[in-house]
This record gives sequence, C-alpha cells and structure tokens, in this order.
Amino acid sequence: MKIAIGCDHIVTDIKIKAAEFLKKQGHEVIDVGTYDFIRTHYPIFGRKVGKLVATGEVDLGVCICGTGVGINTAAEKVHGVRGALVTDVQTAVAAKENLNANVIGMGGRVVGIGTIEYILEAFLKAEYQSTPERDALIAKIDAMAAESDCLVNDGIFDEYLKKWDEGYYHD
Amino acid sequence: MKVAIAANALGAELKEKLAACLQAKGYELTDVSDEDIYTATMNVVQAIQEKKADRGIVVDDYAAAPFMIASKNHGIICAPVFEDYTAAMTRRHNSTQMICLGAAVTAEKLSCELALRFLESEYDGGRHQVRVDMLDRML
Repeated sequence: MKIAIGCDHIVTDIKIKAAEFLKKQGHEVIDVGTYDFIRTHYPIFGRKVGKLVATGEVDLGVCICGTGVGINTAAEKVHGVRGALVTDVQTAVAAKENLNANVIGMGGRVVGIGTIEYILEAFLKAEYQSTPERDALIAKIDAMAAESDCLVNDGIFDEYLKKWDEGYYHD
Repeated sequence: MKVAIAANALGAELKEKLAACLQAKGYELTDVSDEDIYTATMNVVQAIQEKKADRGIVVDDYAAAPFMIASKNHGIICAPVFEDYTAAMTRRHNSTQMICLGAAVTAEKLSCELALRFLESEYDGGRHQVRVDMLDRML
C-alpha cells in the first residue's frame, strides 16, 4: 500500500519510527515532513497528506502532531478526506469499517509508539463494511468542503508565513 | 457559558449523564440532538457559527463521524477527545470550539471530567494563532 505520513516539529522522532514500522510491513511511504525539530506549522503538513489522499496519489494518510488535533484538522479540511483521530485500536477499526476513513491520526504526546504501531497495523488491515446507511453518510461527508481552493492552491499559506516571518504572531 | 450538546441514539445515554454533570456545574445547555449524526453534528456547528453557543459537544459511539463532519465547516475546529491531555491542550493550542466523545470507548465519569477540562481551559493565542488562521484559510 502507498501511504503518506506527516507531522509537526513536536513529534518528528515518533513520525520517523511510525514510518519505519510501515516500511517494515512492506508499504511504500511518502514522508511529507516536517523532517526536523525546527518550529513550523501543522497545517502545512496536514494539507500535504490530505492532498495526496484526496487526489488518489496515495491509498491512505497518517498524521501525527502533539495531540493530533491540529494536523488532522488540517487534513480534514481537504475535500475528499475522511480522517479519524484515535487513541486505541477499536476506534481506528470502527472508523475504517463504518466510515471508510482514509486518514488515521494520533497524538504523539498522547500515545506511545507501541500503541501507534498497533493502531496502524489494525487500521490498514480493516476493511470498509458497506451498508446503504454508511454509504449515504460517506456521500454526505464527501460532498462537503468542495468550495475550498486548498487542493489546487499550493500558495494558500504564503501570506501567513510572511506575517509569521515579520513577527506578526508572537506570544 | 452556553454549551450546545447533541447525540445520536448511540450516544444518547451518555449524553444525558454528561448533561446532568455539566448542569450541576452551572453550564447552560442547549440540546440539539438528532437521530442522524450528520444532523446532530451540524446542529452544534450552526449553534457555534451563529454564536448561540460558546462551545459544543457531540456524543456518538466512536467520535469519528462528528470529527469528519464538523471539521468540514469554515471556522470550526473540533477535537475527538479520549483523554485529559487533549481535552485541555486542544483548547489552549487549537482554539477548539467543540469536542466529540465516544460512548463506546469512554464511560460516564471520564466523559464528564474530559468535558469539564475542555470547558475550563482557555486559548493561549500568540504564536498558535498563525496555525488557526491557516486552518480558517483552508476552508
């Protein structure tokens, strides 16, 4: 299977371990970054994973940040993404079986690499269990966010990065 | 603080217990439940977008569908919450307005603690705002 994986600077080491695990399982992994611990912004990497999934360039996506909320929300804002943020195997499997989830997310400061490996293995193995009700709900979700330009506009974050560099955003 | 709360049939029992817990703490609740999880989630989203509620909570079985549905709305940041760290940090760092809880995986007492931790946490702002602005730009 072809899998895109992304993270922010808080959990790069955990992301690398998760990517290594997937490769050992025989999957082709596209790591969209970030690649180090230098402060960056989770929407950049969530969008990259979401785009690869939504365009069909990969089969599934994996998103990890501190809690998982930020990066998985970014992936979820992409039209065609159905992402699940989980802390256990049962929820991950349910998201695939009930909603045909195509992105799986975890918090690298929430669950350890052991749980992440269990979740990834189970999520990849699980299969969507189609029913008319589930198909209808998925169709509704897939119709959402179609108006967004974030799939085609790679410069979508430029103005915010410029403002960041100029010191507009500070604690 | 006004809180919009909703559940489908799979989350109804937990939602009732959660509502009692939150009301005992003085939160003003509006129940916008629906049998259909899409409608239940959108009811909470709209309550937040129309500023009829400050925060929202959706309860179903695994907190998966509400996250997908809510996140696909402009300006909405929604967190599936299963443990304490995320309950607090997602408010502090993501400016999250609504959470979803899964009755299949989280029991009554923990749900109440997670909801309270979320409701009692405040947004840190500062550097975190650039990421929130980016999310709002996406959709």
